[in-house]
Amino acid sequence: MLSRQDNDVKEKVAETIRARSLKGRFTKVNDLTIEPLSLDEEQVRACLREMSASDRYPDIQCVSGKNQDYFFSNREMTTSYAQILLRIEEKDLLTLIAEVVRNDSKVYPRPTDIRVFARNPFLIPENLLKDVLAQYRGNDEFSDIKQVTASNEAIYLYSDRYLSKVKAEALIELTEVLEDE
Amino acid sequence: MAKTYGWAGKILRVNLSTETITTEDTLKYADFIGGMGLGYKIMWDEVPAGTKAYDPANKIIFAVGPFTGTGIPCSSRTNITSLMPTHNHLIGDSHMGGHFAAELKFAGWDGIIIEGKASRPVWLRIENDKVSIESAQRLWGQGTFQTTADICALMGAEAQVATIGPAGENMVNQSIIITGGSHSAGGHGGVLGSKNLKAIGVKGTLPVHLACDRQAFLEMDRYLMSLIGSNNQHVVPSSPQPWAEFYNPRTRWTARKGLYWGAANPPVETGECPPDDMNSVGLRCHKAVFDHGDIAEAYTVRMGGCHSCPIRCQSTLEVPEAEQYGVSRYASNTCVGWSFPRSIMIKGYKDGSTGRGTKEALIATVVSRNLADDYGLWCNYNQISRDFKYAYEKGILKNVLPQEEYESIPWDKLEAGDPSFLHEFYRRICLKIGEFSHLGDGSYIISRRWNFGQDYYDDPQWRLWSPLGFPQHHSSETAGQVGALINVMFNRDAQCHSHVNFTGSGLPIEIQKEIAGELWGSPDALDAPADYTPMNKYKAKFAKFAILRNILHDSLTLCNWMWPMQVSPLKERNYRGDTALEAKFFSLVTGIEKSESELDQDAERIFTLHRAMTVKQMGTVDMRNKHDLISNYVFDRDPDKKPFTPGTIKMDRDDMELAKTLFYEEMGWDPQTGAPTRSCLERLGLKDVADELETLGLLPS
Repeated sequence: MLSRQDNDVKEKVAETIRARSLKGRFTKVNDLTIEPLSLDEEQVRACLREMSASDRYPDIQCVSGKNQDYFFSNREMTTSYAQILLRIEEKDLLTLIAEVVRNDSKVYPRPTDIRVFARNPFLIPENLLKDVLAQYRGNDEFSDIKQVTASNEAIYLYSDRYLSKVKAEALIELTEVLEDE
Repeated sequence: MAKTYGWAGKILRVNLSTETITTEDTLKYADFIGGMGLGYKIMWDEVPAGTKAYDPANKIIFAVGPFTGTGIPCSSRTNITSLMPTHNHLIGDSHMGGHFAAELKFAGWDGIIIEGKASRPVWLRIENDKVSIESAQRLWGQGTFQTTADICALMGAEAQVATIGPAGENMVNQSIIITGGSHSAGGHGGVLGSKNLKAIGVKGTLPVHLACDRQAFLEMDRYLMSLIGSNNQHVVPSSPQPWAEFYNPRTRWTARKGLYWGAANPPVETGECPPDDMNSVGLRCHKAVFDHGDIAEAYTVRMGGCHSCPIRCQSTLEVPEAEQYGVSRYASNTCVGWSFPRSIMIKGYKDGSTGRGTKEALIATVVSRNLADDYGLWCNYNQISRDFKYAYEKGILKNVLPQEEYESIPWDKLEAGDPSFLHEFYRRICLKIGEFSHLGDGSYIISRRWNFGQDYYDDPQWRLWSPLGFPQHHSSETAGQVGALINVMFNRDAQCHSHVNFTGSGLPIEIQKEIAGELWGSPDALDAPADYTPMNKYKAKFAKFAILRNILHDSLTLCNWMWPMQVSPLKERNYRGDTALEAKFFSLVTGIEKSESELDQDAERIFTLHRAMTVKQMGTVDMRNKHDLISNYVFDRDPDKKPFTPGTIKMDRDDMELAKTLFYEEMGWDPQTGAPTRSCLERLGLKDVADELETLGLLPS
């Protein structure tokens, strides 16, 4: 039977995860062992395992990176945002940009305005973005990521798995030129 | 007079010829609601066919509706109805936001009917039921800013003023009536000028009565606010945010971490504005960066807007460099209110850039905006900049202007991107100086006067939607046939946003199509952008809904850039809005129970009356071939592509004729001609209209 102390710890962990999620941040195990919570690492890991198996914390979700897990509350943070945040945390820009472009091309569907990557939550400097785009060339894993330019020179990316070139060109012309009033 | 709910209960009638002021009962027009409906009904009843816009027999009606001044979000619109000063003088309406509408209601009036012509310049002063015609001798010739200041000096700072500038005084066809320095109604300024009426100042201290108890109203307001998005009812943020499942860089929900009103003191961060935070609704739309690009962030003082609107879609900029060109460093506006003044510099800006996004573009825009608003010039939805560009680049101006006049215009400044050129542009047009001033006549007139080529109507870059001389305004580039139908139905640029709000909401196309199916009968009512399909009856229903809601909003009055609430930002509602909200508020406010379909039928009555008046004025039932016209470029663009193939918005002529037929059938009009039939008119309680059209031989057989 769980002790009151165990339940208290779980509540504190859940509160922390939810509060951080509200601010657009993941919670890692490390965040719970430092101040102000200063919990024992083993205790935290045990709590998190029990919470994920329990139906008392259905909103507490986990996404796994290469070397660690990230926790968030899906009441305060959507899964789609969590997916972006995961790549940012993992500093995996190649996968991040490709996943955003593929998702945009599949779901909406629309090409991705590269100016979006300079803003929150991405904050990717221009030179770094250029590097990433250069790495896509000749890389089979990202061969579907294509670039397209509007007549006003705005640059977009799209995935030809989901969007044709002719449609991508038409959509950005609509967005940048025809619908600008 | 018995207490009225929603409506004030009185309409002011001012005869400027006889200088008599009388009062009428609003509720005799209740079937037409108010605003646009009131305007059309009065014009039908009182202005004979054959009247021209500047004739004293023309009337101009400023009208509001039962929602105005109640505090319902986005309800401070003034609708202005009169004949349009164009080649064909057809009926049309213009609108302005700001605070004038609410103030008129607080003064106890649902509308002002202005008729006749004053013998000398006058302005109308309204303070509750104290109404007088005042001499405008000192005001005449002044810009709109000084006129507003002078009238407020007389009436008090809380007065609201609607005024024309020199453009309207000189009966430039393309003139505005403006209130609050930045909220303008385009197209009717010259009508006020023809009547020697410079301005209307209004101040009110009366309540607007609601039929319901305050708790019921507050609950409905809270419900509405839970569904409200950002400007244009965009319900998805423009960047990924923790609270949002979707994002779309083209929405107007532009707030994000690190985006500021940069010229505010201290700067105000817009931040992440989740939909359940009522305190940040006004931060959701950083319209300055949307309209001008990221450069505008540092120059943005704040967002502003209209009475009782939480959205705040007008950006106020502070650009100190504008002062060197003799204008204020401050300017406020939104959308085409910015793109038009920017576009006058057709050769670009001082730094060699063209288009938006640079500081020089911003400086030129603020200079141009100040001049346009102060002089009172209307842009015909930015068509005037294209009229100018065509005439200049094709060498037409050099041919048609007398040599002396041509050489007196500082073209070198235009070529160099020097904003001081703009003084000459506006001065000459608005003071009617020389042949150049005919740019203010309107596209139909100027294209004939100066012998523009047919390419002006055939080339998509000029955007001249109708051979009748008005530009595209969310036309076939927005939902194909739906936008196209909306754009042929009026006597000016369409000014309808119901459909583009929906398609621009930011939601994925599959969700939009699901909602379209629920609202208009099938997901096939909506095509994906640049991937159109042939016409079907559901698209006709969508077009009808979009137009009727626009009409309804301009009659109630509500802002059609926000309403109807077709969608919401709430995942827990599957992003559905509530299109019955207009009816729910109507029943609460007026005490008259109306369902959604009953209120839509009132709108149908008003729009059909507009159609009937257009038939009467044009003297033909053949609306299909004489009025509902579309320029060739809509069908001939992208010559290497076929209609209804991915990657083009090209339309098909036969398909559009089918679209018109299906729309006419939806409206109950004659499917051949597009004219209202007797049975349709009688169904809508317009038997008197049917009788009159019949005596004129203008009912379809």
